[in-house]
Amino acid sequence: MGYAIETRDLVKKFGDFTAVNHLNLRIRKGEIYALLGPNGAGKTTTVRMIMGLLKPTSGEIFVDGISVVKYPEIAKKKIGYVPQFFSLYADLTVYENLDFYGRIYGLSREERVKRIRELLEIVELSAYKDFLAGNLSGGMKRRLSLAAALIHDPPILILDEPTAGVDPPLRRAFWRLFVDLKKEGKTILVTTHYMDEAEKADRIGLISRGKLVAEGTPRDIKRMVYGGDVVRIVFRSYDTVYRSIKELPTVMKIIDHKVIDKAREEIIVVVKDFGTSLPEITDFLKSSGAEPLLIEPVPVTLEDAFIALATRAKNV
Amino acid sequence: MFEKLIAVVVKEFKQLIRDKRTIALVIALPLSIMLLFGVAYSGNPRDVAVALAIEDSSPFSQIVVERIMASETFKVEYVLDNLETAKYYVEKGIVKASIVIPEDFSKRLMIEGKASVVLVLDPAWMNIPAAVQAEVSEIAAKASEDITRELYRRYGEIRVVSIDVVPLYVRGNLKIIDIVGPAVMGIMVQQVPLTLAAISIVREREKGTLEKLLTTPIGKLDLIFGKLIPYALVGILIGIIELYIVTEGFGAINYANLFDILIITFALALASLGIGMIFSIVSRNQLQAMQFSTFFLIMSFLFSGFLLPAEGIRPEVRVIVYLMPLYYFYDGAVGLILRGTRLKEVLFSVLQLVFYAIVTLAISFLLLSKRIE
Repeated sequence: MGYAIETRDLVKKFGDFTAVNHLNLRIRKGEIYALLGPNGAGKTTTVRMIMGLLKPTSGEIFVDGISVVKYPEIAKKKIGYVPQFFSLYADLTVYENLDFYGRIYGLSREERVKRIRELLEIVELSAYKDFLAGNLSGGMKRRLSLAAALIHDPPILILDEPTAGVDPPLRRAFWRLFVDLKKEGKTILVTTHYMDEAEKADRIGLISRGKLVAEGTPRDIKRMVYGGDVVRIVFRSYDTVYRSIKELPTVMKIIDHKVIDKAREEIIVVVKDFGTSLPEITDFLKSSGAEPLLIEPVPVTLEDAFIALATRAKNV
Repeated sequence: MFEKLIAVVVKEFKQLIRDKRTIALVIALPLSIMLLFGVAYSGNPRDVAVALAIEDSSPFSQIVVERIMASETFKVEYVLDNLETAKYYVEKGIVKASIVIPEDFSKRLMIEGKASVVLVLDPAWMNIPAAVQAEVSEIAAKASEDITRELYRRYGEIRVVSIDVVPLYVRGNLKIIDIVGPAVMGIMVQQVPLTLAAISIVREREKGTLEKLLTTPIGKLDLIFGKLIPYALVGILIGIIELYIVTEGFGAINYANLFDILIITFALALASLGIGMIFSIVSRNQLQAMQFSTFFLIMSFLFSGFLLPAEGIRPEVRVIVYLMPLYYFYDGAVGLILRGTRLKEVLFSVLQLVFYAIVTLAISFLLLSKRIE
């Protein structure tokens, strides 16, 4: 199976500034992929190149196996695009905007009427169809933009920071929608700088200074920071335990050790995999005569991971 | 105490000079128009197309004929033998003026010591009649001296002769509104669609709507013509209303029929749209597009042959006249409105406008990119 979107050694330079630096993205069909990175990391530039709006300095882009550079018109039809900023006509109504894009994509009158009704339901704008787009609230504009991107029922959806400046309830609603669209078989590429949001994606690409610094499921990404899962162990102590736990094959590293009070100690270790190491640790503690009180994974936030990975990439 | 004022002044200056195009538009363009104006307007009229009617073929009239032929002001396109044909040529706009040497020219010279040269002039050509009259008066004065000398040589006595110039206006007196009407109409028909077109693309660029639009399967032709058709209709409508206000409301002459006027107006609107489209594509923002459009208005006012006929503009820079769509329109519309010629007689002007439109639209098609960089 080919990729929905693939970039090969994609480079974009603006003068001396390299905005995108040998980027290799492989977005699988039917997944939600979050391109996560700080402002200025090259997310929008990448998306604009995929949309054929910017010409790559070098490298290739394929959308559903079709070269964007060679056949932009064919490639573009496969994508529904929501730009970062509101880009519909403020002086047309909600309905007129959607109808215009429907015509541009060659939908017949009947198809347009039906499709617009469906989309307005989905984005919950049915009651506002005769409002001028310019008079809508920020959140409604976002929803309208999404509807416009879906007008031609594209297999791929690209959203550039769709939730920037959007309140949490609407962000959640958006992500529920993404999941629904994914169930329909669509591929979704979302750029964001919200860590909590990226967590909901199937896979994340971490981009920093135009480079992909890490890629994988949210869990993979977190594990990359320490090379495994981080586990917090609290037990009634004998001081030999702390030193000898190192010898357990599953334990890769001890990050921290402290005595909580007279009877309790805490160690934080990195293990290869939390699930498989849990019984091993329990057994070990018992056999050492210590009494395990708590063994729990330490949540590594994506933010931690991101900062760690981006810093690491910078120092290389 | 002036801190805030200074802050604004400094900011405005910085913004003015930040973009090279703005510098060009704010400083270079007005200066070059002024320079062009100076060069273009400082010469004397040349190559005015005239017909010369010689009813009297005496050696005396030959002296006048030679001087007319030698004049740089005139380009004698037809040599005729009677006043009636000479008038007809002017009425039909085939030539800008006719110079007639009447039948009794040499007879009166011999008997009365004075004779006349008749000029057939068309007041519709704004400044041409005055220029023709001035040049012919000068020629007449010099020719009188020649003839005086010639008479002395022949008869050995000094007989001072004088030649005066008698202007004869075809179509009687035109009011100023008659003459200005077609030009004002042309300016409206040009400027309204041109400005709309000049803003069209750059507004979408500035508002960000172009980013979305360019990612759709929309073709460049769809985009260009989709925008132009409504603007063209607005332009034509304004032109026609303008014409009827001037004629019906203020009593200006109009011999044209509606269909002919529609066709030439449409051709001008198309040509103007092509220019406006180019402006829109090369502008970074709406301000620049508006400046382009304003300067084009000034240019067409100065160089479309309305204020100063093409013949009055120095040949070195006369090409600028042929770059103004209004020149072709004015040429044709004056014929239709003031002279009552039919469309087929001004078809060449219409075709020139259509050609102009095709070229400018082709340029805008080539310049328009489906990318945003």
